[in-house]
Amino acid sequence: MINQLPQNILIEIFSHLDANFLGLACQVCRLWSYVIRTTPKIMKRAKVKITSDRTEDDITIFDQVPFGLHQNIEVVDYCGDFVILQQILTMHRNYIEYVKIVRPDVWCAKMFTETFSSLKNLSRLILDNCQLRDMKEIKESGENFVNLRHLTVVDCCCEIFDIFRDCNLASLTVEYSPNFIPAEQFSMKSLTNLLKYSSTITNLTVVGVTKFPDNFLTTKSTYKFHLQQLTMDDIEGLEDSYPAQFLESQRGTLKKLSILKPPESEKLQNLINEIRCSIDCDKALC
Amino acid sequence: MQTIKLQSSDNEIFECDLAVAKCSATIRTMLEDLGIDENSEDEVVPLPNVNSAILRKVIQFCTYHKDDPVPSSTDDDENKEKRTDDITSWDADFLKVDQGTLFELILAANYLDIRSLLDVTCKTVANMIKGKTPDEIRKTFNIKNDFTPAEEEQVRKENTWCEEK
Repeated sequence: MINQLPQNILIEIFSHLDANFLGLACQVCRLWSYVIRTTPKIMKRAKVKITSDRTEDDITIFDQVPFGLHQNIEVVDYCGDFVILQQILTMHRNYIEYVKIVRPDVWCAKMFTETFSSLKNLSRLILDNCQLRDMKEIKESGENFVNLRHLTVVDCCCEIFDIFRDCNLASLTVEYSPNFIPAEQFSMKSLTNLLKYSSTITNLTVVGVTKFPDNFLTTKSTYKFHLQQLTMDDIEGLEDSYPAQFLESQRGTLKKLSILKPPESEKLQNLINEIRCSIDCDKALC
Repeated sequence: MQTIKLQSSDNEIFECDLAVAKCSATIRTMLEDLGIDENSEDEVVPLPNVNSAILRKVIQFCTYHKDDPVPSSTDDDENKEKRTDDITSWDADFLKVDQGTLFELILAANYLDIRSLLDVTCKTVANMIKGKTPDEIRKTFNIKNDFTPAEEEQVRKENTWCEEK
């Protein structure tokens, strides 16, 4: 019988459930309700999903969400009224640490930036299939997303990186799927700019970018950051001798280097092997 | 191949591969800290909390998984995404058992401290909870509704936000 299991096991089981299911599990019996409410770890981990079905009535309901501390929010397929979403988020703005947005309606860039920047403790943001309009309006926006450290961008409009230019990101992941065609011309200038401004990024992943802009990851002087981890699929998409130069400039700090597609250039492959080798040596010394 | 003898609560002796037995952190500790001699022929590790039927299943699980890479605990566990849809088909087949056996396996995994088995069994139970109404959950696990009608109304009200629409 499930309720005879020790509480640490019930906690283990509940920690695999999203917030929405936990809310239902709370209603099963006193024991479950007690265990879920009194274990902050469970709720801390659980994600709250917001979909378009939320109406204005729900705003008041969300206000009563038990346990208070909603730190993880997922906004999935949200095509509803942005104002409602904004109100729900604002209510929890002091708590939210993680947000994942998947396939939203095309949002106005300014509205998006203002709303999500207001989440003071947001440190981890995943944007999946986000298209924003009126990007020009936020060009000079200044300090947004001050506490954001980890940004993941999957199949989004290329200009989206402008918004995050002044963040102190520690890790940046950029992914495009092979058949994704952004609405505007495929120019990654906005990403190049973000990298140029950043001095804090230590963990960079760029996968599925088929055409790199001219100045992307080229020479040492252009970049202020010191990478510890670099993951790319095709480094030869970069201009000829430049990847070597870039790798050389970063090798002092690199602790992990993954190039998913082996380069055709023997010289480049040798350099990669050499860097990997010295990383392994450092590890062995530690 | 080096083997070790394990004794279940109902006194059955299982001889199994030492590497398999060492999937259990509890057995590892017993061997290392308590100085049970791995090389001795007659040495038997008693497991008073696990019966033979369950121990047989546990050994089967560990034999299949003995070469799996050890998950690094250094990954910031708090932030790692918890998933329940990543149970392999072998594990799913292995866990096609009645609820009683499933819970006994959980208890054994907990006692023997076999992280991978505890994880996959707890996921399986979590999947049985997902997508069900409170009443369906009670039926599934044969749980008595011990709320008073007033309490039930209160707790339901508090949780209207999570109802599927």
